[in-house]
Amino acid sequence: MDSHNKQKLLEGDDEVVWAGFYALMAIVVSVLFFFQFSTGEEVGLSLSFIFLSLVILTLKRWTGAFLIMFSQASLLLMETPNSYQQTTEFGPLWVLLPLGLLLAASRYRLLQERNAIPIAKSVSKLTSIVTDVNVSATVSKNAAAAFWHTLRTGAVIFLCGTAAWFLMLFVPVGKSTVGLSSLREFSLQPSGYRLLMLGLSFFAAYLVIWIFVSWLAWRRITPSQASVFLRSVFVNYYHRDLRMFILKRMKLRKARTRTASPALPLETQTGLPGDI
Amino acid sequence: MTARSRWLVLLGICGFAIGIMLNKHTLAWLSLTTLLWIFVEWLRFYWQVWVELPQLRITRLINGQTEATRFLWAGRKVDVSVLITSANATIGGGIKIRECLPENLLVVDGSRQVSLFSRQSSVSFSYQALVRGAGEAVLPGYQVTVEDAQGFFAVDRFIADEKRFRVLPAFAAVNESQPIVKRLNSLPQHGIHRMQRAGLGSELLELREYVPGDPPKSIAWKVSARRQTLMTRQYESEVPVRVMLFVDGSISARIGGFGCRLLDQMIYVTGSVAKSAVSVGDPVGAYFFDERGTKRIAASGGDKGFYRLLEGLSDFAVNPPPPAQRLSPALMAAITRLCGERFPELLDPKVNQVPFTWTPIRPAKRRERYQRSLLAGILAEAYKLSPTQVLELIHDDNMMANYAQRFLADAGISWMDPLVQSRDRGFHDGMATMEFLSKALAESVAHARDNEVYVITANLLECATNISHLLPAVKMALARHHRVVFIVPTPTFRRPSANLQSDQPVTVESLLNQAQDLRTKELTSRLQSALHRVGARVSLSGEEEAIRMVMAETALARNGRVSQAGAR
Repeated sequence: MDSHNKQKLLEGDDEVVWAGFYALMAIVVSVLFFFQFSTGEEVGLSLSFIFLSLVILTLKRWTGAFLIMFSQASLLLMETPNSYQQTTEFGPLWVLLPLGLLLAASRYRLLQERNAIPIAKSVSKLTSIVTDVNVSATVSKNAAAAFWHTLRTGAVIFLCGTAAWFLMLFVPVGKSTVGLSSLREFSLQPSGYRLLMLGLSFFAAYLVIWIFVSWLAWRRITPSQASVFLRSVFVNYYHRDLRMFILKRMKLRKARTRTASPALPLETQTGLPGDI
Repeated sequence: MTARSRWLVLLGICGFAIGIMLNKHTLAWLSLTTLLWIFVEWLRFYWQVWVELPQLRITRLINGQTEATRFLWAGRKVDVSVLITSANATIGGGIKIRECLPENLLVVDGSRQVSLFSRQSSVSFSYQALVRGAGEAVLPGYQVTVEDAQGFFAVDRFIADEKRFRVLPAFAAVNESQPIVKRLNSLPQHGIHRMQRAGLGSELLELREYVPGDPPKSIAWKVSARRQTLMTRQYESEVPVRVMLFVDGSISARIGGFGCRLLDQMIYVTGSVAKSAVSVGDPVGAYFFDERGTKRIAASGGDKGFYRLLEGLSDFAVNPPPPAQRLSPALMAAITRLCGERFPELLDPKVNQVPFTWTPIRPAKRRERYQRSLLAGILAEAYKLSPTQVLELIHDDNMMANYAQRFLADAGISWMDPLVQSRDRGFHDGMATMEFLSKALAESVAHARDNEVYVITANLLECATNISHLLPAVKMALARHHRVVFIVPTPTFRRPSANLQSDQPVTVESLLNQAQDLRTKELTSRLQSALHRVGARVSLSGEEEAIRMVMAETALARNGRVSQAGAR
């Protein structure tokens, strides 16, 4: 390993940092799943194998969606119902650890794709931290910086988790929900009502943000984009008429070309008296 | 949004809805956190695209200079370094900047792109590019890809920074291409050459009988005494020899990648011949002929005349609008790729709206029509077309093909498939070339003042069997005492050899090359015998040895000899 690469090791966005972080998160989440699935049934063992295969598959492909789906499915099956707003001691872990794993997997895969580094080289780089004394020294020197860098990146997830927790506090609960008469009237379950209320609230928030962002995007449009937009809108409005007109003209032109004498000059054949 | 974020948003919404419905708090919390995280990343991403990206400042140095040097030389390397800074303090991570290069430039060293993973104050990249062929090289700008750290969002943008360069042709150094045959012992002054024509020079041409009116001082008294009749000495003419270069720019000469076209070969030989002629003081002129007509550059000497000729060659080497082709899937793919590189923001369906139609029904055809509508919008913007013409582009294949070809040609794409589909049209192109050349020769003879050397570089191999169409013009030039030398480029850039090289491994490529050599040799021998019969010389070009031989031939033609032995 050359000196430049040694120096670069664990300096921030090196893929070794994220490979290490990914390995760490995979181990932690595996332990979490192990406790969850260790019910003595064969299903638990099978699920553990599926999770491990997903973790290994990430070395070749991005499997973030499957990892999240797996976590969601686990919660769906294992979490006790009616646990609404009853946070268990493992609740925050079930939120933060899968998303941390998703973050590490996504970043690691992206860096690997950008650098176009094969897995074997990446793994050898990772193992050289343990085997090579010089590399180990460099890593230990930069380990603290890399740790803080990773933590800083992961802090976004923590903040999002906290914000989501606060948002969940505003979810209407139980039978004391305002609009109970409506619930009875429409035969809605309280959970369905909550979903409707939350869905509408989030949609309204999304709509406001979407309008703001669209307005911002429209203000930043370039002259060429504006020109293309206007032209395409005009074509859209008059599409049917213009298309009919053009297809008719093309048909006439083809008919004229077929019947034209080859002895005539080309310009007299292509020009039509009715051409616009 | 990339596929990653789409999947996560879908899973987040579903998980949140199920969590709320089934009273599973942690599931809803996890799903909502996922959605919020993607939303935060989205906000950060668009901040980078809308606020930080326009602040980028990109400075390009060409051979160490910020200003465009206006011209480059074919066959030479050019050093390009690009410095990227920001009006803000730092440049955000997740940016990939790539210099868009024309086909005429080939990166031989370094990298023409840079990727930023974390925030930096400035970043640079440099590369060395080889200029492939004469003509023009346009550096259009930079393709910028912005991506967030997880790969959830990505967008392409193009930053225009157009620099246009004229590429002057390469030529062999004059010292390397001196003829190897012995020259005359008494060298005349620069620009003065002995011609096989009577004149007032100092070199004896011949003795003839005296006719009334001859100056008395030219009477050779001793010879007259021996022969018992008055004899007159005739001297050679000492006049400047004009070298007229004829360059063929017909379709067949322009097909191929930059630097590999027959035209590039001809221009290299022409430049070398011109340099050689100018170095001995001869004025050099040129005729460029192709389907567009004939362009004449009047003969002039010195460095100024030489560079004027090189500029003319450079302009002539720029490909004109290509011949019309049918619309093919490859042509559409090429234009889609180019539009994706140069106009990524115009491919956004929010900006470039596509009209809804019920037809075509098949999904593949619908996708094709959708893509074509987007491209029509971009072409309309590039060439300022009306909305009616946009629809014509969508429905009329011929019009789409014309504009697609024009678009590709303007972007500096060489005349290769799919821009110009290569097919066997040697005979028709050859006939056209002979017609253009005959006209140019006739025009040149009409403008000629004295004995001139005509160096004709044209792709005549394909019309070797029908060369009789050209012979009247050649005979006319020879009858006016002009020297005519033909230089014919070879498709392989090599002189054909008769011997099969047995030491090389037998591969399909080597066998094909040998077959091509044999065919070229056969055509060449036909051409040579036909042109030798009327008194013109023929040579093949493409490599240094060939150019040296051409120089020797030109020198022979110039000094009036007919062979290297020196016999007149």
